[in-house]
Amino acid sequence: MRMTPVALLLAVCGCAGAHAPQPNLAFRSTPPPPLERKPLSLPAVRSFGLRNGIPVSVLQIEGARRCAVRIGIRQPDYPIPVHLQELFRSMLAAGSAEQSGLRFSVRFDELQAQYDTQSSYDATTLRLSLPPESLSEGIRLLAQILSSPSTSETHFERRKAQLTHYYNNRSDGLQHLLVARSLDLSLFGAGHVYVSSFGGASEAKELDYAYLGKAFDTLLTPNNVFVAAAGNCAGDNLRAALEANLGTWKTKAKAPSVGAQTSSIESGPRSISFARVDELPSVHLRWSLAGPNISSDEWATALVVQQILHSRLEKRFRYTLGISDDVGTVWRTNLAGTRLLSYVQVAQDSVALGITALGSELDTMTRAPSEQELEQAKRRAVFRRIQDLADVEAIGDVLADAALYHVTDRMQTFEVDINMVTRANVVSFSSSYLTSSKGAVVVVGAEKSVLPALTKLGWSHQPDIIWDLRWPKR
Amino acid sequence: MERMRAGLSWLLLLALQFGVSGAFAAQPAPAATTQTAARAGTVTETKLANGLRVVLEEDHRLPIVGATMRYELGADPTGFPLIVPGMMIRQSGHLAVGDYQRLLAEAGGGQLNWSVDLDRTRFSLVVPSEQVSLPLWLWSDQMGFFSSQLDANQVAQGERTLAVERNRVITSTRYGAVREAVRAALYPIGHPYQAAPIERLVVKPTVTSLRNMVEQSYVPNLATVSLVGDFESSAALASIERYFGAFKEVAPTPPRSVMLTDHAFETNLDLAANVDQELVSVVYRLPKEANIEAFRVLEYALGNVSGSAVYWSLEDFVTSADVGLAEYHLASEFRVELKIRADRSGKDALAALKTALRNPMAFSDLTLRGAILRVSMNEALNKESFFWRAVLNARRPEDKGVRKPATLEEARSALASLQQMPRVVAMVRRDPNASIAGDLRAVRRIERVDAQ
Repeated sequence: MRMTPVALLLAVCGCAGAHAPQPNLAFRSTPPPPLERKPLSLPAVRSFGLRNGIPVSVLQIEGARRCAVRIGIRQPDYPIPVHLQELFRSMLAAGSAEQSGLRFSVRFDELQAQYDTQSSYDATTLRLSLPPESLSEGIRLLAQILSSPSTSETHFERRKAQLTHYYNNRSDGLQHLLVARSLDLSLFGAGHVYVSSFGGASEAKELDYAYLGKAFDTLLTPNNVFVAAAGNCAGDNLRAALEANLGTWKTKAKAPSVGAQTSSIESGPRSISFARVDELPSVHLRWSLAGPNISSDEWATALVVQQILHSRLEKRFRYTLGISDDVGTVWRTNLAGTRLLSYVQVAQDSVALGITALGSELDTMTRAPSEQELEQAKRRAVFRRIQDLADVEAIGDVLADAALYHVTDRMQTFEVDINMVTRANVVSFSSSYLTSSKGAVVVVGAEKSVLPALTKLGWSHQPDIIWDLRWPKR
Repeated sequence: MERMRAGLSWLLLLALQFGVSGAFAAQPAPAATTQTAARAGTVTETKLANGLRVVLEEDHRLPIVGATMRYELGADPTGFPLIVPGMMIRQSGHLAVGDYQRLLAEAGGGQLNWSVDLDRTRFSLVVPSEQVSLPLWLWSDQMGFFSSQLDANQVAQGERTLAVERNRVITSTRYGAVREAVRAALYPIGHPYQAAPIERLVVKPTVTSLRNMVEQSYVPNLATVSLVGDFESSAALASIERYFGAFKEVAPTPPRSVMLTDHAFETNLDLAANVDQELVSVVYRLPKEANIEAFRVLEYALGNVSGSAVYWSLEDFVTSADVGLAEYHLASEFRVELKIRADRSGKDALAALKTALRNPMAFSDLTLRGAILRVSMNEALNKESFFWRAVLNARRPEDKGVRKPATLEEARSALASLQQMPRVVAMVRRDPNASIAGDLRAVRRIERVDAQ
């Protein structure tokens, strides 16, 4: 903390204007000490199976106003291109074979329920939020969508046309897709399931209705589905409602294996990709490294390491170098493994400095943090988790993720697991996974500023991808 | 640091509910801290002797606290209110450059953001419950000790930061110029909102002018502290008294009050931009006495993905349709923004939209009833969030009021009244020689031929 000469003078003589308080007291100059820390306490997750084998995880929170129900559809080893995934998700929001999306929308409104669908690499999720007294009817409607989805070709064609137009136009959203694809291509390698999950306008155009039908046939089956519910879910007997509506759903003869996990990925030698967006006023840098699987015993250490690196990057870029306020690091998880994505946005004249500084901060991670740094990182990791649990909808999403990756038992032990991480764990983990000689580096920005900077770095890898903001033609 | 934009999402818009003028009326200062109101449930409102409003809501489900500091000060014609919050966060009396973010990060704080709209300035965040005093300490340092340490370097830095922000949200953003052009056309010259700049300074600030403005505006009797979460109210109130109690109130400036008497008009804005898709933005100006809850129903009805005839009539023209309602003290804005497919024209999409909205049955009873239910449902969802409850609780009492959900008839009446409202229609055409933000090529004001 600092005391400027002016403030000091004003404080001592008490002669500040009407605006300043008098007198100035010592408590003004130092931050307040924290109160006693309260541990995170969550009710236990209750798990059971329906008669057809659908696993259910419930986190009952007494006093909550609503129940958040999530029904996840796994996509194990089934390479759904992202545009098809979008159509798949969209069709599940478009009603059922018997009733239109509008009809469903009206019914959900009457139940004071909110329904939507989301998709990620590994699952498509039906999300329903509703008051506990509406649970039975809400689950009946979800079961109807799942067991008899809308197969409207008109809806399919309309959404397909919109997607094609989207891919054909420059947009900020497309820019993020291109960066993600570039990272995945560098990290997973061409032909990997997660890389093939991206496509362009020409691929979207070629999508046919039959392919979607195949996705429905393959994925919509009870042994590929899981349920997670959080909040006040006891009002209308959740289990009975699930048994009555989902438990009777018949498993298909040819169903995909459940929970199949691709073996974890490893970082390859460092590669640099360049996504050219000449109109960008600043440059985005991404550095992606492979990490352990989310279900591994190292995951708590992974979260603490991320907090340490995040804090070091902020300190370096924001305060020491003063070249960026937009910097940090985040874990991206999926069944093929996890990636630690470090990111920073810099001015066009700071590209080389930015990349070098990112790399050197990665390398510093093999040095043990101080006890204070470790404790702060643990505290932040726990608080991030608490923030994720700040409302019933968020808790439902966290629980659904945990169910997808088979780690629901860690919901309760999260803080204990984090607190067990040691300095030695951090060093060992960083030595295994974090190094500037590996990983995928992606630079997004204007050619005139990025290419000279990359050449100046003198790294052996030259830019290997140059894209315009438009999706590349194939 | 996430910097939230006003008027862009319904979640944020819910936080912007203001009511009639009078919020700035002088309050007699009680001799001691008194509780002026206690609402049903766990929300209590208290006012310190210096006029600072304190709104507290205990919720012990998780060890977390949502906190908001709100000042009744929005963007003005100078642009000064746009520059000050960023400068306050950068450094204040006892906080060196970067301390604000560093201390909050070390304490585990999250969702840090600040925003300035046409009526108010707001700082919001969440912290672990054991750190509940930290934001109070930080914000009190801003209120009490920011102005005294202002110097020319800080002012220059603030100007540079604002310029970067303008570049980010206006100059370098596709269609970035539309919002500014619409605002200038939607209100008559002389109206406070008409002249309110977006991320730019109109008047060059000096240390003295900025200090004077800060000392008149960022003061306890124009401010509210709101906490929601795991704390003990009596202890929190004592902390607030400790940190803010010594600050003196100032005589408030008279409330802004502008009568908008002009009749229905339409201003057409022609813009050209280096983009791939045409854009059509239609913004209606609603009078401050408008039944906002009824227009909120329209917002939900029109914004519903599959729930309205209007949506279906537009779907073949657009790749996206955004609907927004922004509520301010002196007027409100209802906005429909369409991104046009490359093989369609904005003109046709606009014609389809106008036709659809002129139809009294554009929304079926079923659709409107659904929207009415969704409005109340989303309010219930907001109440689950510590962060948003702190934001919502910070609204002035006269703005929160007792708001009744709109009826079907009120929603229909609001739809019909749209035909009477002044509106701006901005059409962005493709031009590879123009900027990506958009260049204003022509402004044409016409009488509304479709006004009833």
